[in-house]
Amino acid sequence: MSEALTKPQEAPVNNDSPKSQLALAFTASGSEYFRIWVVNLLLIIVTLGFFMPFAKVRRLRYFYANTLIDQQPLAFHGDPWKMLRGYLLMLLLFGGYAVSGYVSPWAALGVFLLLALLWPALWRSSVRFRLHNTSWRGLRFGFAGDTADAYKAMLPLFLPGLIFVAANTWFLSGVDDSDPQAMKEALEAQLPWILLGFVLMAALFPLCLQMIKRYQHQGYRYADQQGQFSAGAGAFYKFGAKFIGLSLVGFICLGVTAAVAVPLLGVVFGNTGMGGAVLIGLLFTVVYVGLLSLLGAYFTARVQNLSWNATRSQALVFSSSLSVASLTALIMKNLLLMIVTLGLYRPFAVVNVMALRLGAVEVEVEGNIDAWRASAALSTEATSGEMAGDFFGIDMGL
Amino acid sequence: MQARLSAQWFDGVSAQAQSCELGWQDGTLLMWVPDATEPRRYASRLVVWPERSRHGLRQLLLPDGAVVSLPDSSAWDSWAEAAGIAQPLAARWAMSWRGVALALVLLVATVLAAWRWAIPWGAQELAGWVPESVQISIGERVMRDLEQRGWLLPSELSREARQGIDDAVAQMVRKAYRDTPAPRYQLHIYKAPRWLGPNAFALPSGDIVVTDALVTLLQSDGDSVSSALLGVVAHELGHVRERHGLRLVFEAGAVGVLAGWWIGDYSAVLAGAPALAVQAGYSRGHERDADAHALRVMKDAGIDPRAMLQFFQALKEAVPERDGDATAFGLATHPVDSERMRFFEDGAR
Ligand SMILES: [Zn+2]
Repeated sequence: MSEALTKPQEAPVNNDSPKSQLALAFTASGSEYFRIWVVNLLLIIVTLGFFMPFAKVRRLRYFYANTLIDQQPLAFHGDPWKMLRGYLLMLLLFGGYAVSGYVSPWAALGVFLLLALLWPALWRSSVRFRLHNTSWRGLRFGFAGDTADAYKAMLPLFLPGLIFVAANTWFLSGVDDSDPQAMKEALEAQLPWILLGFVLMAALFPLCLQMIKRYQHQGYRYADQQGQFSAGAGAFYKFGAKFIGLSLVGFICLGVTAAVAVPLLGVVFGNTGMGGAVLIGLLFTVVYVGLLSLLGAYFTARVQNLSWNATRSQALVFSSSLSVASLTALIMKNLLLMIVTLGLYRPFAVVNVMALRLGAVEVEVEGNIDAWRASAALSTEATSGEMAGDFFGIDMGL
Repeated sequence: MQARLSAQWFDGVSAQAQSCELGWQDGTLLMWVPDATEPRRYASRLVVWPERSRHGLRQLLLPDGAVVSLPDSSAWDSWAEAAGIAQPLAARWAMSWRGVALALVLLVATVLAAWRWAIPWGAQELAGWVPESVQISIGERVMRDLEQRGWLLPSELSREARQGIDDAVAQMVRKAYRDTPAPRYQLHIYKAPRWLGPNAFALPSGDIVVTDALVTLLQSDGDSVSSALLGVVAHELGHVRERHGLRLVFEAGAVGVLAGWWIGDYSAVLAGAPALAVQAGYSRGHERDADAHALRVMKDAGIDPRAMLQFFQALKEAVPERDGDATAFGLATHPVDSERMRFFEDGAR
């Protein structure tokens, strides 16, 4: 859903030129997107999935045509036939992973490792493909992040993953799983390493998030503008600490509520057997979903604000002031309506979340955009670059 | 040749908007740009035309990388219509409310058909593909796991009583499967922890487990094997024969994947609840099939199906907290007792 937000805008070169606000408007309507969505979904089912890239292009073009920056919409130039190749590649990879589990655990491990190793490269290709195929005022966006840096940005998450895989292989291979005693010993020996993996993952996650955001935002290009990212790891660790604190408080409240409410309900409803248990379960689910919405909204809003407030280019300054409260309220409203409509509200939800997130972003520009010209580097890249990602048209996200 | 339409042109090199005029001649787009006397020409099939919509601005994407922006959507729409530039099928479809309503009906019908026929059929086919050796190893694994957890302990019934049950079941199977091959089964009687209570279940391998508590509940008089117990075993034989265990695994998997695809990326919890309800629905269907199988087996073996009424009655008295008539908001895995009792009562006639 961050697509409309993942593109920076434009900028001049002059330092003493006047500053002005670039008006951002998102004009998509839920009911209109609903119609596009229904037809897309049906065509995807009827064609057994082959319509997917075409559906994606239709959806992107609708959202782009409704994302007006200074009254000019974005345009998507991607070729759905090329994107079909990307879909087939992904299908092959994930299908291979799913099937390999039935063949043997070793095959599954092999395909999993292959996927994990390819992931940063695929991700980078996908970001690149999306930006290279997006234009505003006839000028293409670009992405300058290279593959090596994509691997570096994701490295902090590879480390704990490697520990999990290694611990699993080292301690459990060759253990006779019909012997409970041997199995128990192996699992106990493995436990500290698994715990270490989790602790490491939690400790490294903010760093990884910062590295990924920095990689993305510094890679953005438009005309002669180059993205700059000023948020350090410290800011992300501060956010991470707050997030963990909020989660802890939330889950403790949830536990206390459950401890109080369950006996109370027992008194009120008496022993209604299965029905009473399910009612308590439902109630608990509602509170739980509310908490998850809050945490999800907190994460989304804070990361968006943190990242975009730290982003600028030579002539552009971004700011974002997405409110956690309004995003939480919107997410909960969407969930409720989605339940009531058995999921048919989904396109409305997509549009209203996008509108809220985009509405919180402001762009300030220095100088006159009319004077901007396509960067020579970007245009040669765009014409010569039949690189793997472009060849396969891999486009993930949203 | 029709009237020219004025628009904004971005040449792909400069961010500056330039005014241009569009014309149409024999399937070719003509574009007059400033400082050029001759129009640029673009074959219709090389241009990406905008889809019609109420919101948003129209743009033409030209093969040379230039973009034409159309500030006045309705002027463009009538100009394009006069030129005969067709909208793609999907766009025309989405434009009419009647078309959208039809798509919605078809979509819902597809989902319902998948739920009612495609998923159960696919699960049945898949279950048929699973080799017997795999089914046996699944069964062995589960049995070993249950034993290790201490949920299945050696039976405290007398050897004679257990032998009697084995023989009675074997006799029932012989009589009931005169024309068709009998399912491969292995009857086990175990003592189980108190919470498992009077119970019976079947595994894909054909292992059928009956708890001591169920045997004592149904045959208080000691020696003679109760018809109700045979009925319960016949029900489990139905599960084995129809491969219900494996089918439910595949059905649950398909429902989980579909629910996840439908709304899962929005909320996994939200996708989980309806998925559980649908899975429970499949389970109730299997229970009804197993009951139907039990009814046929009992009749063919000359056992009065009304013995099953005794089973439900005894269960209700022995385990009052079970509440056999709770529907649990659609999450119950078995049909309600009253329905099942009526089934055996009607079937006995
Ligand atoms: Zn059953």
